[in-house]
Amino acid sequence: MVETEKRISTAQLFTVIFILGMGLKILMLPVLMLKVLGRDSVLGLAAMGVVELLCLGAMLAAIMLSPEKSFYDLVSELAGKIAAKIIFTVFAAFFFFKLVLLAGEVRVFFSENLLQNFSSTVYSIPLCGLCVVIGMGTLRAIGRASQFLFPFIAAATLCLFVLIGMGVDFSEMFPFGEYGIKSIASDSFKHAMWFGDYSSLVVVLGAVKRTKRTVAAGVVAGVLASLAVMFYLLGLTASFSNVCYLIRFGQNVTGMSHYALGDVMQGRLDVMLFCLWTVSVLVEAGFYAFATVSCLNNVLPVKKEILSLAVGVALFVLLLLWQSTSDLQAFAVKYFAVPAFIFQIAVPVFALIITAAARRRKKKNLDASSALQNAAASKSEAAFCDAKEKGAECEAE
Amino acid sequence: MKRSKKILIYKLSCFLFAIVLLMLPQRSLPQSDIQVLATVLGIDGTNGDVMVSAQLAVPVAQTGDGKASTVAKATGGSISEALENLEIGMGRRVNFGHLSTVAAGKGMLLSDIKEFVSYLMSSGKVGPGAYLVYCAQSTASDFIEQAQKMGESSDAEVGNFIAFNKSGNHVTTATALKFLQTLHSTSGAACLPCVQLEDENSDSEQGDTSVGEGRGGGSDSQEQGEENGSQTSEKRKSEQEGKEAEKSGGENAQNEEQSGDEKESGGSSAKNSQDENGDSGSGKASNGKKSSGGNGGGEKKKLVAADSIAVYGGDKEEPTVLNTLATRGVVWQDTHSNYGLVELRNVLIDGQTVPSVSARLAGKSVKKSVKVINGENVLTYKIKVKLKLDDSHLCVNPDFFGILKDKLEKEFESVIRNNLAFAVQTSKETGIDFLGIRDRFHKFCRKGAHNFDLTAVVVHIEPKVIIQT
Amino acid sequence: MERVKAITESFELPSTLVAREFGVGKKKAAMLFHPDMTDELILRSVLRACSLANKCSGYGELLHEILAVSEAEIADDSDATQKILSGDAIIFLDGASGCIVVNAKKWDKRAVTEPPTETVVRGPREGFVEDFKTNITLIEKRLRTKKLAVEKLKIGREGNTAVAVLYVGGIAKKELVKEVISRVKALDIDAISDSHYLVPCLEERPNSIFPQVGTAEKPDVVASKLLEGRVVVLVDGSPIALTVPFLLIEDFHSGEDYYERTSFATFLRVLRIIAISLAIFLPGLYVADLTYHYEVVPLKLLITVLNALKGIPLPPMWEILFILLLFEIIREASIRMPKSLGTAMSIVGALVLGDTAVKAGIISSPGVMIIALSSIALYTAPALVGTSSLLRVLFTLIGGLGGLYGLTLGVTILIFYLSSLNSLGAPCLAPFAPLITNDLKDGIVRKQLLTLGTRPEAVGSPNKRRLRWSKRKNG
Repeated sequence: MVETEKRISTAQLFTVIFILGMGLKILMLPVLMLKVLGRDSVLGLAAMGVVELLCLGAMLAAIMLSPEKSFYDLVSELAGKIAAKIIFTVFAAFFFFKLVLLAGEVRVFFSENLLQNFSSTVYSIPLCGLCVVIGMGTLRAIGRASQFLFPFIAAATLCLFVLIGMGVDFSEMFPFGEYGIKSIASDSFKHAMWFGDYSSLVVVLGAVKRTKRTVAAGVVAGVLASLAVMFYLLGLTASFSNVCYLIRFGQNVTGMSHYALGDVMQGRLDVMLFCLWTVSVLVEAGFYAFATVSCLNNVLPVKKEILSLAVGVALFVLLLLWQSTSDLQAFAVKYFAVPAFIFQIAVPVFALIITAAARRRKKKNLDASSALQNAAASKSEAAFCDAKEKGAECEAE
Repeated sequence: MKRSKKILIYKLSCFLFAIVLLMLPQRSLPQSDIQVLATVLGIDGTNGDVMVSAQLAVPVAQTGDGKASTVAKATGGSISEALENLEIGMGRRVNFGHLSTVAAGKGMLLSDIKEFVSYLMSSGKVGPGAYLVYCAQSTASDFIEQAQKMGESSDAEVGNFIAFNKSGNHVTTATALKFLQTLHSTSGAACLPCVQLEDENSDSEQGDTSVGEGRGGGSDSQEQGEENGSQTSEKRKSEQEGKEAEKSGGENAQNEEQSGDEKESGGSSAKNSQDENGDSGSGKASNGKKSSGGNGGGEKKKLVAADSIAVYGGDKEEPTVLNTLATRGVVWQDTHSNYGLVELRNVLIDGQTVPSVSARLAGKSVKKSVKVINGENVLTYKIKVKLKLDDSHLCVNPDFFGILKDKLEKEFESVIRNNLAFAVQTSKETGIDFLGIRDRFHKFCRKGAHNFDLTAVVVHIEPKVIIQT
Repeated sequence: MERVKAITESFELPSTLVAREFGVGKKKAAMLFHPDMTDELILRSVLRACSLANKCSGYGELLHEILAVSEAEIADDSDATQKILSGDAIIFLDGASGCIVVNAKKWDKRAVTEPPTETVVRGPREGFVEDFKTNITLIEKRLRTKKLAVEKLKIGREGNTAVAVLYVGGIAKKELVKEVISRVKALDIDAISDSHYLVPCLEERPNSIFPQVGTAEKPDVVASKLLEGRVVVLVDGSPIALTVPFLLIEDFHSGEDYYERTSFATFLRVLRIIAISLAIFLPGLYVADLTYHYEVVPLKLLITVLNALKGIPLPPMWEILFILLLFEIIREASIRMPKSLGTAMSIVGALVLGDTAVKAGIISSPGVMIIALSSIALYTAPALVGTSSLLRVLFTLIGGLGGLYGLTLGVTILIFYLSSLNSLGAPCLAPFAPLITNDLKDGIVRKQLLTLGTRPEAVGSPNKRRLRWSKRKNG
């Protein structure tokens, strides 16, 4: 049973979903997809976005159906402890790889844009520190932090979009369909690792204070996040569609706003806005660290703090090995596309099945217990009647 | 886990975080002493022998943002080498964070400029929003030197000049990204606004108040400016014999040549960009004089924004400089240029010839539609322009709302139509699709794009001018 | 008398106490008191009354018919020592068990004045003093309700300091009151000299740099906090009342906010938040921009600053840290030093250290300006001065070492840390995280007083409704 005060509210779930849906995708995905698919990246992203929103719908349904138990408890009740441990090990591994990818992209974003003379190894350490701190925290703290930061993130996003919207010639995003549907589908599919962020919501199952608005809030958050990503990709496509060769990882995320800003004499205000916006990516990284630690915590009988430290250290080591984020991205595209796509769809479906089964089981138990209670009540009633009758008889006698 | 242990772990994490922060490469802390800020970068030459010149703001120990800039030059086998040599020569690291303008020297080839700008952008030295200009009559190095001498504070003069033109004048501007983006489009052509150095001696001999010294504003100065403009253009004509177009000024003569019996002449006041600055305009001019004087007197020049553009594309490696009329045509269809002064000259109003009617653009919307009609590619420009008359005394005329307003609107519409038609004609003649017609068909009319022939495109121009009072 | 002797001898120095033997009617009596803590006039009047009495049958008669003092009571022998140490006089009757405690306390106390940290232009100027009773009276004067509970405790093995836990019954959450009392009672210490000794007991994370217990020096503020459902702890000898639970946003509130027009109060709150943000982040941002991110600063401003920095031997981070160090030294010295030297010291601090150092080229004028602005801004929220001072040093370091990257990470960790911080069950970031829309009326925005109809939900008062008002219909 998840303690009542440890749960997150619907508003906090909204912000978490928005951040999950937007952070990683805006950071690098538009650049990657634009390089591969040119203008048709918009179509690819839209298609993948729809799939992802369907997955979000399934996750939200699971959240609504889930009894107030953690997902691990539900899985172990229905599938056995060993199966649950295996499943959660897979979850942890997947979330951890997402964390690695995200951390790599954050590192390259800052190193390209702001601190070009820094060593990327040194960069990684504070980021790993952040993951350790958030990883050992609570879901409630993450929910509150994202809720507190949401207005700032939203304002920064909005400002950036206004800036981009005013400075970019959107007619440049045409024409679509140069690559063909097959190519769009296959190339979008290759980037499946950048999608499926809502799968990580399994760690919030049973820990959400549900209201009538929970589903609506979740869907709105997901749609808003998808629209934000889409708008960003449209802007990037309109700006760089003919000169994709110029796009460098990291730098051109800000390049578009830089272009829109025009006069650099007045300072790069957009960089400050991007820094504010990047907080959402950091929160997302923290959420993945938390999700990894939570999953591992169910598998290994080790303290959460130690697990969190271990995850931080492992993250650092991997980032040390993968000095080049491009290699990391290539690895994700080459080897993780299929598993990531399957994971993206399988997890929400699995969560939905498990929670529905658990609910049914609970209902059955309730029915059984109520039947038992009824039986007991009727028995006692009969006994009472008997006694009454006996009493009446006695009285009659 | 006990609370004390938790606290211990937390403390440990904080301590580690602090250590990490302390480990960050402190030795490479950049200091103001070892950095200079580049604001304008000029590139001359071709690959194999590149010369870069940069206007640099150098911090000096004094208060305020007083004069602290210099021009540095370096050469190298490639642009990267030249930039490296620039830093070596300066003995300082050049910070390109505030680089606002890149100037390409006269005659720069298409392949070179493409490579240079691509390199500068992909290396992060030049942001996508940096302005690109073409030095029509001089090397970029001369241009930057002149720019340096122009302003007192001199750190941002050229950048401000272009930025102001973009926001306040009816001229076209190009950024690094826009240039490359349009160059790589199916049209394969891109425009660069020209800037040039104007001989000051000749102007002053003729009593020219000149563009940089406050021309424009009042009607007198307009007239004066017109005169000067034509004089200057004539002079230049003689200087560059056989060249296609006149540069600054010369609207009247040019228009008369092109439009036959039409009396009006219109155009953007690109040259007047500095006048619009008011005080600063005159300030710059005086500085320009000062610096020219300091030059030694032999070659007195000053910076002007020519109302012409250079276009790259077609089969040519060298840029083609458009004449004033074609330039204006390009500007009319440019959706990003929505402000500035436009004027009519020698208009017959109420039986009298008014030498100049100037109006300010209050808004402009350009719609370009492409379709195939009867097997012909048809491009339609619908340009809606809102103007506010600068000469308010015309509005006082009782006939203004009856006849005069309509007439003026018609006159302005005719100017737009002529200018744009001339630009289209130039495009067809030169074979350079600088108006992006092919790209338009490629984007919105696939059918027309398949067998596209620039010379066969039928262009309809439907201007609509509304004079706001 | 045996009892008098026993008590006197139980003291380390028996001469500390004075024992007077006298007769009440036919009975022998003795009065025991601490001469330094008692009022001689009261004692005289007691003695006179006793000596005039013709008969005395016991403590009841002595108390009700003979003694003419308003505050006296019959107590057990075991309480006698404690009462003497509290400044009471004890009267023993020979042969009768128990004693009479006469309140004869007399010690000098400070007048009720306006506290220096919570001065107001409009509004009450009364502030707490060191006298426990006066402080309670000041609160009781404002809350004349029988629901006001003053739970008195004694804390400290040697000090036996009086501690009062105040709450309004039915408004404060019972669990909260219980928790506070149990936490205070759990403190086993020899003595406490100020209310701040209790702060760590009431905090969930005593090592945190953020306060989780509020402090107030004014009875009107304390009364309003009590009415919001908070619990107040007063300690004898301390003019500072502790209030729990405490939310971070309270640091940006001032008692005066409620005496000003709504719009102005809101403006002041926004101003305080901006000021504290500037105080904490401005030095870090300045250092980060001048060390790594020139492009963020407008060119003209950058050149002006770089011109001023030219020739300064220290990189921006060390320069700012050096100026911060100077400022903290001057601040600390000016608090500690005799007031007569204060003016001279401020001249030395401002002119000699500041101006001369700039002229000498050791530090730059923009650096001094940044720290001056930050330091002034720091005092817009006096309760956060310590926290903000530490944070700005931390963020200066982070900005200097990690630039905007470090600052972004730092801010994220800081917010996450604050999100996990609670004050006796109330989330520190409330009403923003978790979002409590009802409490936003008195968050950054201070809505009109008549619309503040409910108590803050973050505090968890069982009695939510606070105000009802309907416009009287005219005619």
